[in-house]
Amino acid sequence: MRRTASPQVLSALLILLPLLAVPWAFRPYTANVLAVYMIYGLLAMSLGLIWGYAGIMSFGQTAFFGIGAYVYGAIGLNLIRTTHQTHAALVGGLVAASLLAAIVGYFMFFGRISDVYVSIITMALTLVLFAFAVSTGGDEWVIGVARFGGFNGMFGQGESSQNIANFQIPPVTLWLPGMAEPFEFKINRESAAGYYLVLGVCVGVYVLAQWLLRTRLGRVAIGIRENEARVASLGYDTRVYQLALFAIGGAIAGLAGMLFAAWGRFVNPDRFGLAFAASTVVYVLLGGRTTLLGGFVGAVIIGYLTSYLAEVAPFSATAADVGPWGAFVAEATRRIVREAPLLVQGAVLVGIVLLLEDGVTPPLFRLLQRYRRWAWWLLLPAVILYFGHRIACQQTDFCLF
Amino acid sequence: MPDPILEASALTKHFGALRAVHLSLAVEPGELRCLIGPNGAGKSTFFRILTGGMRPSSGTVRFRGRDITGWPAFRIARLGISIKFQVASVLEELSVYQNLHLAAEFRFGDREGRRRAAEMLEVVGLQERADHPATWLSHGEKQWLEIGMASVGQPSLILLDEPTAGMTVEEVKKTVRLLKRLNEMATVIVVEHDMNFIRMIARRVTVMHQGEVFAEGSMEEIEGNEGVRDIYLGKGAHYAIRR
Repeated sequence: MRRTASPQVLSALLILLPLLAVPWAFRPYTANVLAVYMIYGLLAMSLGLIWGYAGIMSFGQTAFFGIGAYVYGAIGLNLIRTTHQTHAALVGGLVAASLLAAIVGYFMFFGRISDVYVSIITMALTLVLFAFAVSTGGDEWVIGVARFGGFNGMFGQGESSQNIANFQIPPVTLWLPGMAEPFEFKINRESAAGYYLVLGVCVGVYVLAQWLLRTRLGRVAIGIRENEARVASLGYDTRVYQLALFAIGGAIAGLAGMLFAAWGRFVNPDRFGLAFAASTVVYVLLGGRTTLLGGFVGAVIIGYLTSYLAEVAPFSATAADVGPWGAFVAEATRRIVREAPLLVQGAVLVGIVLLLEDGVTPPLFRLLQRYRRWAWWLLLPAVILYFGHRIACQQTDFCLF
Repeated sequence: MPDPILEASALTKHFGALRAVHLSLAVEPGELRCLIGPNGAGKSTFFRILTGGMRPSSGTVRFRGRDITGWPAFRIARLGISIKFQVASVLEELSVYQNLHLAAEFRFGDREGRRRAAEMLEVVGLQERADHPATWLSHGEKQWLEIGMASVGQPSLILLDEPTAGMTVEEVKKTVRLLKRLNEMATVIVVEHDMNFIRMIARRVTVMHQGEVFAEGSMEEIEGNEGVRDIYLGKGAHYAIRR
């Protein structure tokens, strides 16, 4: 049998290669925004893994995302001033998120709760955490120097507060023995380390998840999605497999949450909110839940594009003397255009759900499979765009992205 | 008389006021038992109780003398009881081979499971379909695949709920050969409607009616039983059974 790259691997590479060169070709701003959508992509990937492969529709992956972010923030704020690294915060956030997922998963799966009730319980979980996080505004909600801050989000306190940076959740800072200076999460003109850290984590999680799906755990999970009774009648304790995959999904979501807190150096209760929870589901729906890359593609491409549109859209038509009707028309147009990204997002969502019920990625993969020979040529426009943009941006200061 | 491999005693299942199952039944090791009866006689409910899909209202099920009443499905399966469901239940998106491999893997592990799965592909005659997703299979082929999944783990008791539903005459003949082969290694209980099929395989037939055991005996005895004809086919429908 001749071994060829599967469409999954091929498309993963076709997405990865252009992403690798983003900080080189585009403004740091673009890398910064893309990084957060990749973090959302990671969160969407965790949902894609448990929903697409094990049939567990979690509406509350954001609960684990938020817990990861908050725990990372709380430990990190306390640690960074004395140890100048955030190792324990990273471990703590990951453990907290997986533990929460394991506990909730235990009660769901061993309580024989399934299908839509899983969605409801997970949604309730994230909303409960939202309500809890909102109510932590008081002075008693402090761990060491980390204030939970209620609606305002988490920030630090203490004597070294002359520098605003000390108020904020620290960036991921790795200072392993033998390193002359710490690795710090940064995305600016000097360094794209944070961008590559996010990208690296995404690649790592993707590879790990692909491997996982080829183990017995993955095979049984897929079997459960197809027909739980059948798999149970083969002797598999389906609850254990569901729980294991759910906990892994929670860990990935928590990882994304930690990266988010380190990226924005901030976390507030909105990360537990309904809007964020829903957008995660939308990313997976748009990208396709039957492929692991679906959620990532949905978040990065569609998420980024709509935010880019939001930036481009404003043209401020302030008509001076056009009379009341003219002013009304001008104002209405302005408002519609301002809301254009949302309209576009809505239209894209409805269109994709109607036309491609499995999302964007499965048909794309089929096309790639068919025209595999020419697949690499798809990178050509990207290469031209990248070189063109870099030259234009550096020589003439004309930067689109 | 050897100890029964499966023994249901005073087993009942109520759905509200409806008594779906109310029977005692014993099956000996190595038997190929046929369970027949009109729709609603409680055959599938009985199977679901046996395999842990449903708890009985009262009574006990013993497997090799061990009380397994109300055990969850996976534990019962681990004892060596497997089932082919009434509605063909294969893992549609997985390939035929993957279906069999997943079934074999539980008992034999990954590597040995591959070998067993490949063997079973031949036994059920689906070699050429190995890499097709199960959803592409015809109805009959799905039945064979599920029978293969139910038997690849070498269970000691196989329950087959309507294995020939929707099959052509040729396919039924093939299923008969398959079943006889399975019966060499395991006790088999078959629920069926197709009288020709029953006639081809049956040694001992149990007739169920309104949740109870109505009659039990060889096929000749059952076919000669006036009462069975009446309940099974309605009065005056004798020709169907004599055909």
